Amino acid sequence: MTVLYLISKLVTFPAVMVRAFYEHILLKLLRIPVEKASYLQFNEMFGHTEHDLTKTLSASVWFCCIPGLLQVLLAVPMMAASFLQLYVLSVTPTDPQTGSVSIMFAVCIILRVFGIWLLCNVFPLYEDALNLWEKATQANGFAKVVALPIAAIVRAGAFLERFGITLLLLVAETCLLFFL
Amino acid sequence: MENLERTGFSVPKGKRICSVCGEVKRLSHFDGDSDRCADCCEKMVRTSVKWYCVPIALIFVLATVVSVYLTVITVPFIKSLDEAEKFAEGSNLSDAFDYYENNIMSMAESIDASVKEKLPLFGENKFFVPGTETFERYCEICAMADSEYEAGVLVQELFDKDFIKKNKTFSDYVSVTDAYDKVFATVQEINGKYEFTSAEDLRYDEIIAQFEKEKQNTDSPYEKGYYEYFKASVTQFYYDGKDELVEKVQYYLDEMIKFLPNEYAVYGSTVADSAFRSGDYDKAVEAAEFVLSKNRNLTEPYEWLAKAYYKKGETEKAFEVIERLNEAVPQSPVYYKLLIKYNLLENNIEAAEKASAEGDAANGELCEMVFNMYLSNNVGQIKRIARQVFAESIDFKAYQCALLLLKDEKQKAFETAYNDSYYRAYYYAYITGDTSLLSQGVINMTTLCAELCRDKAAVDDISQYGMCDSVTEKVINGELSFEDVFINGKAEIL
Repeated sequence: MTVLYLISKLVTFPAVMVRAFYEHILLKLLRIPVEKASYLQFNEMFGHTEHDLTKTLSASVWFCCIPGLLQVLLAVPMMAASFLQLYVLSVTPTDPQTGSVSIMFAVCIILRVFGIWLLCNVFPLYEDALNLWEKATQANGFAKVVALPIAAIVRAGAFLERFGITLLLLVAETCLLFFL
Repeated sequence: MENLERTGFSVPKGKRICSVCGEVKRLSHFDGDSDRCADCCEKMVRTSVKWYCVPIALIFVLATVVSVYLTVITVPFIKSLDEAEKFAEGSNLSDAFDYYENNIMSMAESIDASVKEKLPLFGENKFFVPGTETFERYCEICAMADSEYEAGVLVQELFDKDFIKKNKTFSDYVSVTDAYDKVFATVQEINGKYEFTSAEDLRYDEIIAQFEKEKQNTDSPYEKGYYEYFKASVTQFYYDGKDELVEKVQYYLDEMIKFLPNEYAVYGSTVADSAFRSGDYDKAVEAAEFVLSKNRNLTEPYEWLAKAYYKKGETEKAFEVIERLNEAVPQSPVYYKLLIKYNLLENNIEAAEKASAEGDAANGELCEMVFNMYLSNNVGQIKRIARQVFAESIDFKAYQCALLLLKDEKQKAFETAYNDSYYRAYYYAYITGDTSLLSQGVINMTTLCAELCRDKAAVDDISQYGMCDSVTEKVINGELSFEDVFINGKAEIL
C-alpha cells in the first residue's frame, strides 16, 4: 500500500510540497512540536511533517481542514475553468479555424493537471484523520454535531488518499468527460 | 527510560529525563506528562518551514488567478450560447442563427482581442476560441435554419481543411455541398444535351430516366436526395399548372426529404410553388405551415400563407398571417411589404401609405447602414445579414414604388426604384457576383418607372441585367393601368 501511496504522491509532487508547507505553518501556529521537518521521506510520511498528535478537538479540526481547504480553494477555479473550456465548449488541441496549436487547450490542460494535483492532496495523514475522528466522537453536544460530519469526511478522504484512489478517480473523471 | 532504569540509573525525585536532549531536568520544565522538556518542545515548535515551497505555491496561486479570469470571460460567452438555444427551442431558428452569427462569433473575437490587448504574448495566434461544441451547434443551426448546403459552405468558410477532414460532423456538411455541386453539374450536362426552351419541346420521360439512372449510380444519400429535387423541378416546369403537377412534385419531394431531412425549406417552397401553379391553395397552406413548424422565423412561408388565403377569398386570415409574421420576425421589411401589397389589393391606399411610412421608419436606417458598410468595403462583417436585409428591403421598396405610382408621383417612384431598389441589388451583385437580387420584379418596376420618366439611360442600364416582362410592357404602353396590376390583381409585375 505504501507503494501506491508513494506513486500517487510522486505524481502529484508539487502539490504535495505545498500541502506539507501549509501543514508545517499550521503546526507552528498551533504550537505542535514537529519531530522531523522533512517533507520528502520516502515512506508513508511522504509530503507530511512528522509531528505530535493534536491534543484538542479544535486544533485537530484546524489542522486537518485548513490545508485541504486551501488546496480546494486553489483547485476549484482551475477545475471550473478547464471544465468550461474543455467540456462545455470542447476546445480542441488544434484551432479549427487556423489549424495551429490551440493555446487555450494547452492552458486548460495545464490548469486541469494542476487542479488534479491539488485535489489529490486535500486530506491529512490517516493517523491525523483517526485522531480527529476519535476526538470528535469523544466530544459532547454542539461540538460533536459539528465535528463528527467533518471528521467522517476527513477520515474517508484520508483513507482514499492513502491508496492513491483520489488520483485514480480524478484521472478517470477527466478521461470520462472527454468521452461524454 | 525503561532501559535507563533497567541499568540501575534512577532519576532523582521531582526530576525527569528529556527524551530529546537526554538531560535530567526539574518537572517544572515539562509540560504535564510530556517526556520532552520545554526548551526542546520550543525548538521543535520553532522548526523552520521549507521556504522553497513558496515559489511552487505562488505558481498555483497564479494559475488560480488565470483560472478565475478565464471563467469570468467564458461564463458570459456560455450564457450567450444559452440565449441562442432559447431561440432554437422556440423554433426561432433564423433568430438563433443570426444570434450565432452576429453576437456569439463577434463576442469570441472581441474576447480574444481584449485578452491579447492585456497580454500581448500570444502574437498572431488566437487565445480565446469558441470551441468545437459552439461551432458544431452553429453549423447545425445553420443547417436547420437555412440548409445543409449552406452549412457546408459555412464550414468551408470557417475551418481549416485538415480540421474538416478529421471531424466527421463538419465533413458531412461539406459532403452535402459537394453532392449538390456535383448533381447540379450533372443536371446541367443532361439538360444541355436536350436543348429545350419550353415545356412542349422538353423530353420529360427521357430526362427523368437519366436522373434516375444517375441516382442509381451513386451511393451518396445526399446526391440521391438532390436528384429527387431536380426531378421535382423538371416536373414543375413540364406540368406547369396541369392536374398531375402537385402529386408528381410531391412524390419526388417526399423522396428528397428522406435523404435530406433538413431541406424542409426547399421542400416547402417547391410544394407551395407547384400548389400555386395548379391552384391548390390548401396544399400551399399545408406546405407553409409545415415549414413554419420547423422554423417560424422564415418570412417566405408567411408570404405563401397570405397569398393562399387571399386567393381563397379569406382576406381576414391573410391579414392575420401578416400579423403572425410580425410576431415571429418583428418589423421585418417583408411585413410592411405584405401590408402594402394586400392593403393595395383591398384598395385601402391610406393603410398602405401608413405601412410604407412605418416600414421606412423601422428599416430605413438599418438598410442604409448595411449599404454604407458595403460601399466602404466592410463586407466581411455583414455579408451574411446583408443579403437578407437587401433582399427584403429591395422588395419592400418595389412595393413602395407601386404606391407612389398610384399616387401619380412618377419621379419619386423612379428615384426610389432606381436608387433604393435597383442600385442596391446591382451593387450587391457587383460585390458578391450574386445577381439573384436583381429579380424580375425589380427589373420590371425600375424599367417601368424609368420609361414613365423617359430616362433612356436608365432603361439601357437596367437592360444589361434583363428585360421587363410582357405585363410590364403592357403597363408602359397603357394597355394595363396601375390599378389593374396593383389593386385589381388582373396581372402581376412584382
